[in-house]
Amino acid sequence: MSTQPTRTGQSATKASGGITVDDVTMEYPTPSGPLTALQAISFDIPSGVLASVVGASGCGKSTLLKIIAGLLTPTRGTVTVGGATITRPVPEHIAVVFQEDALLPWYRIQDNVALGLAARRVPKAKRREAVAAALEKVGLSKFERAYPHELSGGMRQRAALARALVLEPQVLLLDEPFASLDEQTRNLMGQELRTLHSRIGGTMVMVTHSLTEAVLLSDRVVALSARPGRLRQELVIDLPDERSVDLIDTQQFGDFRHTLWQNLQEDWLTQDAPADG
Amino acid sequence: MTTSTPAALGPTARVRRLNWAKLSLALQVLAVLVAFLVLWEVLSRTEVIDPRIFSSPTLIWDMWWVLLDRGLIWPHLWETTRHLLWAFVLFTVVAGVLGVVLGMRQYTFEVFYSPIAIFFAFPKVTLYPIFLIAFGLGAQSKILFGALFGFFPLVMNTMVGVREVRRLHLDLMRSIGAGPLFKFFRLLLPATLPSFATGLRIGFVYAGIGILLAEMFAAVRGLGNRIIAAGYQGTLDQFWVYVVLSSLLLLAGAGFFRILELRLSRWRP
Repeated sequence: MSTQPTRTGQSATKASGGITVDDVTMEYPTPSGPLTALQAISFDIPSGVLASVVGASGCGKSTLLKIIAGLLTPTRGTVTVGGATITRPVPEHIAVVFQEDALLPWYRIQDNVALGLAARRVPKAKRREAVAAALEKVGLSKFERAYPHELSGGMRQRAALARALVLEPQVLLLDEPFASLDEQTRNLMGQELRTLHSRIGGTMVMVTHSLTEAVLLSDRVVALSARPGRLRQELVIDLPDERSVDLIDTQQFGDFRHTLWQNLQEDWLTQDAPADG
Repeated sequence: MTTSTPAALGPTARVRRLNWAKLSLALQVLAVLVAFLVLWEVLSRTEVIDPRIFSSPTLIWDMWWVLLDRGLIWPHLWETTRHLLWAFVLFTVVAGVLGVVLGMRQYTFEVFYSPIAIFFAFPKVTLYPIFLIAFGLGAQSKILFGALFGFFPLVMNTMVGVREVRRLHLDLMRSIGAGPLFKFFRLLLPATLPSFATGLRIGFVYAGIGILLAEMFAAVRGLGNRIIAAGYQGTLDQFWVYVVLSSLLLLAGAGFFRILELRLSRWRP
């Protein structure tokens, strides 16, 4: 990807999007004592990489993403993005795409996409321009005046993606962005995300519970164990930059997926154990 | 990708179709109303129902003009309307503020919602003697009594409305660095307003019932007082004029708030 000439201009400005997670532990108070969601997790995601965080449900991967986003403060440990320690949301550099589309149902798509710019007090004319460009990128240009409920789930998630893209973040965090979509739409959206990443650059971190999706879309996979979430494995996915869905059937792909499954199998088997609540 | 039909997104097409549907519905409603009035008139004239008790649309219409001539309409209508508006302002402020405060946290919502719902079901009219003793015979007790009636629907609807603000959207607001005013006008207000407007509509009607009740028990003016007086005097044509007038007053208010409600929830599916 870094060989693409169109990206050199942007990579200069977006070079500082590296993420370092250092010894992060997250505990929640419960009536029966503290519940450990994440335990002493450390890893790095280099700038400009598309990475996935995978794990069984309830392993704290969404919690981890929220900590990176500055929406939650860890009990112990620190997260730095571009060298700066995260203590609160950093809207200038980090954008979040939430699990559900999180569009505000009372605003048309164009106003939803413009939300982050409006919060920054960007003038209206500039906002309109940026919104049109972002909607173009996700293929929703015709629907700027529609209300969210008039769109399908996939289209809403695209709009949510456009709302994040319009902010031109150095780091884009996606919390199971395609979880509510059917498999076909999911694959297509995944492909689009990868294409988008190679076009606009920046660091992207996606949380998913699908190993296939993680291997297919990412340059790097961070695998977490079942609760309390511990780091199981960091895997660099050394596949070609162009990732078509056909890749799933290749030996190489199968190997990556198998390695992950070997490490995580146990967690999937225990994820519904009574101790887990 | 193109799951929505083009018609669903073409604004003009949608508005036109909606108006047709609305118009034909309005005509049907009108037809039912007219049929009801005609039936009433016919049954009354043929004395199938006793015209001395049930009157008839034409008799009520005639009596309306008589009462208007004698100056027995506007002063009473104004008395009731004025006190209803005061009660409305009072319960809107109190229930609005309390609803927001109690609805803001899951904990206070859970603790307070059920008791408020129980008080709402309690027959508040039985408390009117206490109001008379505490606040006297004048407008004060009447307005407070009306406000009490309107308070419950609004406080409950406001609490529910505030709870409708989703955690996800609050996270979104934080992630884009929204300030408190931005968050208030773009998230809290639009999320809460439809439910709040519903509370205003129901509260207005309840407050109207409270005011009318108060007038029926202890007042020398107002529509409620006229209804009771006409009943005692056996002038039932008059009775019906005031009953219809009271209904129209409450209907007008309810209609106004219904329009407000629909305008505020246009974005809903």
